Amino acid sequence: MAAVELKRVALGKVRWARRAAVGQTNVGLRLLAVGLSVAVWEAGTGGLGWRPLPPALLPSPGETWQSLVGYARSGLLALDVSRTLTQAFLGLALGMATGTALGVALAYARRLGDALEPLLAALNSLPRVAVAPLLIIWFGLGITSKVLLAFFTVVFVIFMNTYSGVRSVDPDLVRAVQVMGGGSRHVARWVVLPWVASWVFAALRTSISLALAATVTGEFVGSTHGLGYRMVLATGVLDTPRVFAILLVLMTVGYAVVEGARRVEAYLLRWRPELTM
Amino acid sequence: MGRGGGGAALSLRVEHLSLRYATGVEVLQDVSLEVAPGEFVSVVGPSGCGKSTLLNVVAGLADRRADVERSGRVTWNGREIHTASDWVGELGYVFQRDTLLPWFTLHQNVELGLRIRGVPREQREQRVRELVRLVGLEGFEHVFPHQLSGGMRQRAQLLRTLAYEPKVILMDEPFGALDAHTRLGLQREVTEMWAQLRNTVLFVTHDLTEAIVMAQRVVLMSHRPGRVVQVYEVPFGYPRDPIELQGRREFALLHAEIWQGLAQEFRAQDAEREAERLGV
Ligand SMILES: Nc1ncnc2c1ncn2[C@@H]1O[C@H](COP(=O)(O)OP(=O)(O)OP(=O)(O)O)[C@@H](O)[C@H]1O
Ligand SMILES: [Mg+2]
Repeated sequence: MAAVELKRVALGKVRWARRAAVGQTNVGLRLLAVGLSVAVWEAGTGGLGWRPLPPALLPSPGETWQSLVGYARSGLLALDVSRTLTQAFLGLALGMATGTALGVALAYARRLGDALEPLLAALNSLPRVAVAPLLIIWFGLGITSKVLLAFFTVVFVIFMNTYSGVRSVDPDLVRAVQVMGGGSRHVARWVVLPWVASWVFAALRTSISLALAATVTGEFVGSTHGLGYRMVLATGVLDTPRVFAILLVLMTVGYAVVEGARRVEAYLLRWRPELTM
Repeated sequence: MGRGGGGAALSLRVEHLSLRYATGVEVLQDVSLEVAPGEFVSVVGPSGCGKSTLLNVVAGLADRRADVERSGRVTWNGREIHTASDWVGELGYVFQRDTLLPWFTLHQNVELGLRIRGVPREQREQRVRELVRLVGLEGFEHVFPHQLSGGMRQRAQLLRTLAYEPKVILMDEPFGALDAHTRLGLQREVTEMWAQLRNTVLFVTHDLTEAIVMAQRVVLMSHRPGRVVQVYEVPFGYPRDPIELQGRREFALLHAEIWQGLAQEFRAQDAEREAERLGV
């Protein structure tokens, strides 16, 4: 049993070393990259006493920051962020639920699936933002039109992934469970569900970005709140620092959400070799 | 076929089984075989002769498949087997391919059969702990399959089947990826366990020594399309010591005899391939 002990220790050590290495490269270099970007931006907008473009075209980091602080103090920032995120998440949740259900149903109902596959694939290749004006006409400037736009943007992606996921379940794994005496309930819970979940998670990260982008686009087209709406207002009066501030907010929010999703995914799919390596 | 007789209705019977794939490949040709209850039979034959296919048919995995056409029957206790569910949980199958569920840990994989049978958690834990110790996998219970070596995965698959003590066990080269030392240990463990439980075992291997050392009878299959060429009785009782057996004269004689038959199949296979290459 000594050999077993040794192997276990070795396994632990390798993992530990890997994590340490990733940690070191990350923090230092990444902060440096962010710092350098800001420095270049500052240098190009008057930091070195030379300013080729006026603030109305390209504001400096300081001007952007000031505008951001003003935005936050007015209380509108929190309101807009929560409005935009709420819409994006509602759309995402609806899209996940519908897309997964539809994907599973059509994958099992083979005939129907075969019949509908080309139609759904065509809908999937339609540029989703193109329906934004239509949704505004139908559902008004409120939250519904944005939720629906986000929903339409993600539902096909999720559907397609679920559908291909169910169809590509490894038949040998199904057989292994059947041979042990497992019924269709066991097969569904132990084989199909985890397998499909891994496909849905793979689509989740892209879907989050898509939902956010769709919501902001919807707000551009017609709304009364939200980051996209505030951006349209600022553009109208050539308040470029405010536009930059909003872009920064969008970037930060988007990054935080996607990074969160990535971590959840890495944990849930830790059984996959490529993700733990 | 050797024994048969009184226990016929209770045994595992393969009758006049022929099978071809839609690709046109004829894989099995009129295979008949009877395994008495509690008997340990091993199957040897050239690679690609249809050993895995035979086990798949017995397990009920070959029917209702568009790419397979078969005739003949498989019965267990007189009941005809068409699908895996016809075994009503009395079958265990150690596949040649790795079929551990990758999202479950070793422990979770091994206890699947027990969960299907509604065994309470504490009993499952205890059973898994025993089994894991038996094959030297302690410390790896909560590790995912991709973090195990090939040999460890193979042992895990074996445990997954042994865990719920099925009445009939099919094993398809279960020790194929193991080093000589582990292999010898497992041959002994499995033979010992079988001698106690007396399940009905059909054991496919490409290792003739292993086939003789473990089984009561050895079935020699022909090259493709697979037929039963001959069935050999192994004249040793249990408990057996694999190493000690190999030193015996009877072992050497039997090994030489079966080997002759096997070598003839190899030669026939080579000759056929050569003819195909030159002819077409
Ligand atoms: N799904 C399939 N479709 C078509 N042909 C197949 C299929 N599965 C197996 N075969 C063919 O059937 C033959 C027998 O395959 P099988 O896996 O039963 O052989 P085997 O005796 O187990 O060989 P080995 O000892 O190498 O495992 C092979 O020639 C193989 O090419
Ligand atoms: Mg095989």
